[in-house]
Amino acid sequence: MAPETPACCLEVKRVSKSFQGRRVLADVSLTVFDGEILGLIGPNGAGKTTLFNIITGLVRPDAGTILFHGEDITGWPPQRLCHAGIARAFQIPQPFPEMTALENVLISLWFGKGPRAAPQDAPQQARELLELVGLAHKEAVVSRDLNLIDQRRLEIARALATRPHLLLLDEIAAGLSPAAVKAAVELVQRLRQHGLTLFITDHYLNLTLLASDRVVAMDQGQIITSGPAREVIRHPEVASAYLGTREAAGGGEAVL
Amino acid sequence: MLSKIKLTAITAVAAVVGLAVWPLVFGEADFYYQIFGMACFYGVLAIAWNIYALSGAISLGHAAFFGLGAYGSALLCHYGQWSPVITIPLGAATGAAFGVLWGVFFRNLRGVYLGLATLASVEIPKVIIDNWGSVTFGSLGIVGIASLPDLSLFGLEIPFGHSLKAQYYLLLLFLALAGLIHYSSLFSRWGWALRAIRENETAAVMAGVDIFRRRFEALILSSYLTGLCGALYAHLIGLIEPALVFNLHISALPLVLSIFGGRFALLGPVLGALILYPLDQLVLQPRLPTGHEAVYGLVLIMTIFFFPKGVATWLLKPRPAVWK
Amino acid sequence: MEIYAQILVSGFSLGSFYALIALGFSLIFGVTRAFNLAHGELIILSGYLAYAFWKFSGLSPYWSIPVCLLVMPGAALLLNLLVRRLKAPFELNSLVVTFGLALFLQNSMLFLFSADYRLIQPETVHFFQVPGLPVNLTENQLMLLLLSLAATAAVHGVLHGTFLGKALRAAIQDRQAALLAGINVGRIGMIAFALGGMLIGLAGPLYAQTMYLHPAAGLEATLLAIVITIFAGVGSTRGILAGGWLLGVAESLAAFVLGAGWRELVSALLLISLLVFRPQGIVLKSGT
Repeated sequence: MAPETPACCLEVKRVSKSFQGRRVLADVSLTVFDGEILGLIGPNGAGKTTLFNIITGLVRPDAGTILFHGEDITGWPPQRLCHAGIARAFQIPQPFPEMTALENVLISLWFGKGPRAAPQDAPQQARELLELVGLAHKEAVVSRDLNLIDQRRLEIARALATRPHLLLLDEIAAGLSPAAVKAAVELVQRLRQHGLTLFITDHYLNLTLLASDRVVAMDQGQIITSGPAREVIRHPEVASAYLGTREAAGGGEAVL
Repeated sequence: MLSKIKLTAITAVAAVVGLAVWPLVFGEADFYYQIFGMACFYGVLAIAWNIYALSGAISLGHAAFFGLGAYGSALLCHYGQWSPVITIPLGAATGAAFGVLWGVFFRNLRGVYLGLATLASVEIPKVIIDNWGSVTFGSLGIVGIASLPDLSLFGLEIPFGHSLKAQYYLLLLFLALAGLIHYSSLFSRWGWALRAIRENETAAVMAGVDIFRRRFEALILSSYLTGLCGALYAHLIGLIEPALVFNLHISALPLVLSIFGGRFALLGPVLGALILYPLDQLVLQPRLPTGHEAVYGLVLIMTIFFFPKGVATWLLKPRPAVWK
Repeated sequence: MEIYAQILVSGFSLGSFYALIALGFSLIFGVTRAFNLAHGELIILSGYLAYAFWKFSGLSPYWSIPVCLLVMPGAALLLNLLVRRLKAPFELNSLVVTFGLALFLQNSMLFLFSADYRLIQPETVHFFQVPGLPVNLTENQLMLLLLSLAATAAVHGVLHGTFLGKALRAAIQDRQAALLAGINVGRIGMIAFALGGMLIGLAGPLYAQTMYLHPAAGLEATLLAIVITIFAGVGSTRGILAGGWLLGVAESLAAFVLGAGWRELVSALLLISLLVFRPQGIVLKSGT
């Protein structure tokens, strides 16, 4: 493939999705460039999580294509996308509840994209990843006993252990204290220095504004605007989507 | 963790040695050969069931594989006039073929719904065999199935066909082999994939585990092993009928033994079989000739309430220094 | 043509009884989310109770109905005590525990009543002509039809005409919301088990007069109940009646066209097809 500058990491092209007749995504197109931190903002129900589910293969789109480094990956099963180099940390952490933190990370090392760690090296690599997210001291704790913040850390360590090119972080700052958000921002920037491309969603905007290079705003399943964070939040439609003063276009729809 | 595995391995080897040498110490008795032989047999059946359960699936219908294995081998033996040595592994494949059907049709079913579908699916081969009398001899079953052939090895005659002692050692060997398969289903890379699927399917698939493939493999292995048990049963007992080999008890027994012993412990299913079956046969059966199998139902209920992870896990669990 | 009319009528009679079998299961499952795999065994137990009463008292078999109506709710309430103590995952655990209970009951009945097939047989069989149709019904078929329909109508009446029914339906539709609305979900579950127990109690004597009692016969009744419940979706008495009729007619047809031996396959195949092709059938429709 011919190298382009800046190279496209992920291209979402005209993706649509409906659930039981309700349009959740309508003709969504966006591009994530290699090495950037892209933020995706929008109020609840804007379609962010559905878009992530489609990118990671958990949900099939009704229409549209998704390219990853130029290759059409639409409809691939999640484990194949994982091996291609797409990883995700869920908003609600999804650990293996009966395994220790270390074992959780080992699973991703063993079955992820590789290069497959030699069996004796894997625990060492897993410990390094736990160190990176600040969970090294709890490696022997069974993950169902971890608190929410530590489970989010574990979630990121598990995603990283699959050795992805592109990491999707879903609402990792939700419910965190300002200090914890600051730590999360530092972590995200550190990950980028490791050569990762990051695509993050954020309902409350704080993480996105501090960490992202570029922001895409969504509302009601459509892209409203994109650009540098400061410009995007000043965009009138974005403000109204958040403050709820949007005019009900043609429908007399009541908005809280 | 490693030391726990070592401890289990030592116990396993000790158990096999103990089962192999007790006749030397206590003297021989056909009665005990038969009972402990069948305990080993049900141990294999429990391991077979548990391999599928390790992927998170609770099957209520393993009798389908058992019955098909039994009928597959018995009919091949009858029509093909082949030796049971060939028909047993081939007949067991009938069970695995039905496992493929489960894998295809039940791939999106989980938990309770999978349990119900597996329970209902036993009726399919049962009713077909019941009604297809011209080929399968119908509900009357097959009698006079060829017994296992005697084996001549290095000038040594091993009479598998009629010596309960030889059969006992054969079943013990079968159990030891199944134990090795169970070991690798727990502790290999493949076994970790099953564990990941069982604990959190979404997390497993996002970590790169091919969940459908791994679960399918576990199902095929499980159904083939169960089919082997059925095929072996046909030649050991000599007669089969649909109501016997597609019986609810055949589905229930491995489930009860595994859950009682401990589904996630290497020795759990075997422990269940070696404790419960002799208990049932030596203590209850003489007193309650009919209905003594009610004990398996009671044991299952008590296990779920009092030690849901099974006795093996319960015994190995680290306990506080002071007992409550 | 006449034979098909006969099949249709006996299918409806049998189907109404199937609806009665399913009704208890559906009520208990709907309200408490407990999968009772011992449902069929409890019906068979009730049947044996009726058989024993009939045999020893020498009274008309219908006198056994009040006895079973009194005893079986007690058994169901004991089961409720057991099931309520289960930990998560509740549905799967209830399935496994009641599977154990089914095993226990089967073997206990084997011990108490032996493996012989038993049937409550009236000394004389009365036939009734169905008006306008060239079809005969036995007294037993008529009673089966009438009592099953009456029980179904009574349950429908309770669910839709009483305050208790309102609470039951609320618990069926959304346990969480029912709890928030101040409904004592534990007590409602108890009531559901008691009502389910009465339906089981009624089904037993009817079973004993219609089909042969056998310790292992419960599984088929359980499968029937589950098929119809999944077909209907929980909490719909009309759906259950429709499902029972469809199944009854389908089984009668299968027995006529393919032979009696294939009848058992109908409910198993229907259950598998429903689970595989319509997995959302058992999930509640929101907003109804």
